[in-house]
Amino acid sequence: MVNVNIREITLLDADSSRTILEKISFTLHPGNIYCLIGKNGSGKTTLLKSLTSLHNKNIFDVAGEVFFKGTNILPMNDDYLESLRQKYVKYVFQDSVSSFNPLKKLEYYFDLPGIDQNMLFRQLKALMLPTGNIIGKMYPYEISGGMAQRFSIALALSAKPLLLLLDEPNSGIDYALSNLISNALKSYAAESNSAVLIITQDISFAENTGNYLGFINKNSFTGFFSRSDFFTETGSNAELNNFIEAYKSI
Amino acid sequence: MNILTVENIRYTVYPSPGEAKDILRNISFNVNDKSICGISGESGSGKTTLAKIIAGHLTPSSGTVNINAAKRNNIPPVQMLFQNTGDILNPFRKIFDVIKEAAALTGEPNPESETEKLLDMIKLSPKLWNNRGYQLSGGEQQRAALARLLAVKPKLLILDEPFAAQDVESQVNLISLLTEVKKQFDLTIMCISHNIRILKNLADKIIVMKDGGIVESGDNPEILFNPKHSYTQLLIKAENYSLNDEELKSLL
Repeated sequence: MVNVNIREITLLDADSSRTILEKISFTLHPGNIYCLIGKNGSGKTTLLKSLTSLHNKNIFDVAGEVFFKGTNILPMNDDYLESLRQKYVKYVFQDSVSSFNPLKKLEYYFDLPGIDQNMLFRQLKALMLPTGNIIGKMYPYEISGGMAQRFSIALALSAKPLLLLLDEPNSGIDYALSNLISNALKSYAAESNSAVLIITQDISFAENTGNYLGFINKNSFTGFFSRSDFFTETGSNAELNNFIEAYKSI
Repeated sequence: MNILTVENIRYTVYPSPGEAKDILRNISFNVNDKSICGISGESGSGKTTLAKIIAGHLTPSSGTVNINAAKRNNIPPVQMLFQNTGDILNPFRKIFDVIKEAAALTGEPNPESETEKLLDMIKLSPKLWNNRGYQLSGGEQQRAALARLLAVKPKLLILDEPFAAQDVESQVNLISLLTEVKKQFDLTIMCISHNIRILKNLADKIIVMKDGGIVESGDNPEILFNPKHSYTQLLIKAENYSLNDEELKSLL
């Protein structure tokens, strides 16, 4: 279980500072997928990064607590955080291609600590990627953006993290791949001990993937509601209604 | 009248000696003057390659592209907005100057006021006119890049995935901007998008591509209500996240 209580995230500027997010509290339970919906520039990625202190501390100041296995991890030093991320937390970045080392073939990642290779090969198959023998011999720049995205997800899942964070896993890819990723995440969450937190601007991806949905906009967060309650519970949120209207109109 | 006629285009690449691969094959279609033609299909279906051939950036291995519009001051009548829009804005130059320079190329007697008109139209705040491209957000860069293309008064504008990585509100705004631009400039637009749902709101005609060929084309919205090809049916179903693994396999 992960308890998050962020009082405020401030953007530090040379001569002034600006609050970009405030009062965000939620708890993530294992075996569930939480989808956080928000527009461009609403602070989604900043929030996701700050959960494991990956945010740039020269630019952002995060006030609050994130309890992971009972310990507030935000004030911890880099060594502690690094080992925590290695063992328990996996983060799939939006720009997957550049999260790989361009000088290493992809098989390099097969042997990283914590990777269950059998699970990895199963996930490669589930995500309809080439088998380990083939994709392992390729360099990151030899695969397409959609393949890199799926490979990152397969790697993250095969580390069986307690907390899995995904930043817009379906942005810039087509709907078929989006379906595939949604299905893979759902079957993973159902049989694992992971809490999965996804940020997305795609309402229909969120609705079809998440057990719990929440909406974030500049200074407000609706909180997470179960998929069946989300739209009724948040019916009075004008920003969300505008967002849904725009979504329905196209 | 057709502004664009594409006949039997084939585009072959040679990944290794002796190995040939057709990226495009048997592509024939035409586009009516002053209409919007949407091109959809999965990643890797050859949409961008086709667009680059029409824009003259690539030469087809065989087949012809006929554009029924003349060059003005030696400027091609087809202009293409690439996916990484920011790249066409010179980082050392101010937005206003970049667009003014393009407007002057057409022999426009008053490029300054033309630039102001264009920047107003794309709704770029005057505060940003003297900024450089990298100082703008992704959406602002895209609109500025569009203004630069419009400054040379093209007849056919090709847009490559203009809606990717945008949130829905920006997508709605861009749809209305494009509709407005088309009306004011008497333009024909070809818009590539893997998102058929967006094309539904924009295009007069939709072409669906798969593995380098056209599987189906037709008028909007008939093609979406009554798709004949199983691939188009699956594409539409995919947008509702209602595909099972078997159906996914046939798509990927």
